[in-house]
Amino acid sequence: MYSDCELVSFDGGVRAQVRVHRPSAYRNIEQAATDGPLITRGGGYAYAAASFGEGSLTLDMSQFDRILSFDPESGTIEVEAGMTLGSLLAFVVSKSFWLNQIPGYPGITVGGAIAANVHGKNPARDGTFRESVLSLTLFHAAHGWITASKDANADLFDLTLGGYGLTGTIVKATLRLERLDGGEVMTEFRPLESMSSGLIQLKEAVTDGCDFAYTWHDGSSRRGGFGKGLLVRGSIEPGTSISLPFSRAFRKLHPMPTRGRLPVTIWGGWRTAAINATYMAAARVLPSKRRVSLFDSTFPFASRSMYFRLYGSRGLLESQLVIPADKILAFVAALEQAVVEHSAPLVMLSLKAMGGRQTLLRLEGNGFLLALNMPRGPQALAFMPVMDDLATRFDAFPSLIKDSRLPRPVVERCYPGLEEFGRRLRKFDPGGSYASELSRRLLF
Amino acid sequence: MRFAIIGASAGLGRALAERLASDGHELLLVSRDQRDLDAQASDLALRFSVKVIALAGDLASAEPLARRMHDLLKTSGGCHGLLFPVGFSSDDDTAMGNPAASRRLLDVNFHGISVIVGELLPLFLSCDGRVIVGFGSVAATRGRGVNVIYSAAKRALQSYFESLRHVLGGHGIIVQFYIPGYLDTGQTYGRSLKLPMASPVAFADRVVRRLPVDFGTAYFPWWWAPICAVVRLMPWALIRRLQLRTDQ
Repeated sequence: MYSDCELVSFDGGVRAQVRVHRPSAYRNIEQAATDGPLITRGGGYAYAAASFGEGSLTLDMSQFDRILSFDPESGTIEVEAGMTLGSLLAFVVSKSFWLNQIPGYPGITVGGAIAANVHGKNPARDGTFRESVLSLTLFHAAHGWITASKDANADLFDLTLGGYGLTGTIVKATLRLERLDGGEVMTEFRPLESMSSGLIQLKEAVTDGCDFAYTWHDGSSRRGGFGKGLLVRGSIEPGTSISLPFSRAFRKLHPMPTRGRLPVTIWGGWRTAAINATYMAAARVLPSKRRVSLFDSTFPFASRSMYFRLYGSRGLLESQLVIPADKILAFVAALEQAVVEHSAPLVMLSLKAMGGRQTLLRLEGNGFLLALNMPRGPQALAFMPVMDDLATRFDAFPSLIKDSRLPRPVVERCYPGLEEFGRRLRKFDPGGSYASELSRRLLF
Repeated sequence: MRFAIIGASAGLGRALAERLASDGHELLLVSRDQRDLDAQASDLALRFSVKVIALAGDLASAEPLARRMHDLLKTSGGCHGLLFPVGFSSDDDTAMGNPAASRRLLDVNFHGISVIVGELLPLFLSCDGRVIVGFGSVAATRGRGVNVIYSAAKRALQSYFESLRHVLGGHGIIVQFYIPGYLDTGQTYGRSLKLPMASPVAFADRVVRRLPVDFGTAYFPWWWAPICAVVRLMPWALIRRLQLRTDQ
C-alpha cells in the first residue's frame, strides 16, 4: 500500500519525489510506518504543496469517503474526511439539506476543506468552512485517536480548522447542515466596466441578500477601464423543485503533474485577450438572467476545467488576498498601476466580499477577496513579489494555500498569528510529526 | 434479496457491496475490522436505504465465524448468495516462511472459505436460486518463487469451487469462480506491473450482472484467459527464466 511517485502542487510550482501510503482500513492509518514526518492528502487540489514534502510520508485518504451518520432532525452529518464535497452534496441535497461554504470544484475533500478552511460563494454572509464543522476525529502519530470540538480538546480543534493538516490526520468530521428550500438558482450576469464598478456592485449584491456574488475581470483589458468584466450574482429560488440526482457527469480535472494537461501554455498575450473577449461576447448574447442548476452554480469549475488545462503542464500562478474594506479602492488603484508598469500577464481577476475576523493562519477578514491568475513563467514569477509588496503595504492577507512560492517573510509581515500558530502547534506536537513543503517553507 | 460478502470492507468486496446495495439488496458484510465494517454499513444503508448487517470475524478462525453467520442468517431469513472476494498475501510468503504465517495464508485464502460454505450449505440446500461466488487469482496459474502459499491456496480454491459445482449442480445452486488479473486495490497499490490493472468497480458490476448465469469459471478481464493458457503450456525451462527475470 505504498507507492513512490512524484507529486506536484496544483499550480505546478512545487514537485517532489515522495512515498505515498493509501490506507484502506482504520488499522492501516494506525500502522502507517514512517521514520519521519507524515502529512495527509485529500483530492490533491491545493495550489501549494500542503499535502506532500521531501522526506514526509503522504497519507492518501481517498478510501475514507463514507457517510457515517445523518440526523435530519438536528441537521448534522458525520462523514469520513476523504469524502469529496461533490459526493457530500449529492447526498445532503437528496435529503433537502445544504452546506454553504463550498468552493468551486467537487473533487475537493472534506478533510482538505477543513485543513485549508476554504470559503464558498458568499463568505461575507456565510463565513468559512469552519463555521459548519462541529467536531473532528483525528489520528495523530504520537497521540493516537483524538476527538476534538469546541467542548473537547478545544485548542486542538481551533488549530486544526485551517491548520493545513499539521495537527494530525483528519479522519472523520461532523458537519452542521442548512435546510435547502429550493433547487434552482436564478443567476444574473451584469457587465462591468472596471474593477471599481465591480466593487460597487458586489456591495449592492450583499445588501440585496444574494446567496452568492462574485466578479470576473478580463486580465488583459487595459484601455478604457482596468478590469472590464462581469458580475455574477444569484440566489437559490425558494420553492423550486430539487431535481435529482444533484451531480452530473463532468470531465475530471486530475491533480498535477501532467495528466490531462496540454504540453504548451495557451494563456498569454493576444490569446488571453481573444479568449476573454469571446467569453464576454458570449455573456452578452446569452440572457442576462437565467436559471442555472444547483450543481453548476456550486461547482463552476466542473464544467470549466478547460480554463486550467489551457495553462498547460507548466501550470499557473495565483495570488489570492483578503484586502481590508477601507483599503480596497487604494489597493485596486495601486494594482492597476503595477499591472501596467510590469506588463503583468494577467488572465483573469476575481473579487468577492469577505467577512469574519482573521485569526491564526486562516484566510478571513472583513473586506474583499481578490484572486488573480497568470500563466506560470518568468514574467509572472517576476510580478509575484509585486503582489507580495502590495499585500504588506495594504495590510492584506495572502492565501497560504493558493501560492506555492509565498515566502515566509511575507507571511510573517501579513499574519500576526503565525508565531502563535507555530507555538501552539509545537506545544501539542513537540516532535513535529506532521510536515509538508508548505509547513517547512512557512513555519519550521 | 440478501447477499453475504466475506472480505467486504476493501477492494473488490467493497465494490461488490456498493453495487449490490445500489440494486436494493440487503447485505451481510463480513470482514476483520469492526470499524471498517461499521463505516461501510452506515454508508450503504444511508445512501441506498438498504438493510446492512456488519459482522466482524477472521477467516483464520473460521469455525466460530461460520457458526455466527449461520445463526444470524437462519434467524433473519437466509441469504440469496455468498460471495468470497477475500484474499490475503504477504511479502514473507516463500517456501521458507514460518508455519504460523503459512497457516494463516492457507486459512484465509482457502480453508476458511470452505468452512463457511460447509456451515451455510444446509441453509442453501433448502432453497432454490442461490449462488456462491469464489475468486481466485492469475497468480495461481503456475507455481512461482513468490506468493508460494497464496497461489497454492488459490489453486486449491479453484479446484474446490469446481467440485462444489459438481456437488451442488443438481440442487439449483449456481457456483461461479472468477480468476481476476491485477486489480487496483491495496494489494497492488504502488506496484509496477507489466499489464494494466482492472477497476474493482468494473469487476463488481460484471459479477453482479452475471450472478444468474451458470458459466462456471471466468477470467477478468477476459484477455487473461489466453495469457494463462499459454503460461500453463510453457515448458519449465522457459517459465524458470521468466520467473528469474521477474524477480530481478
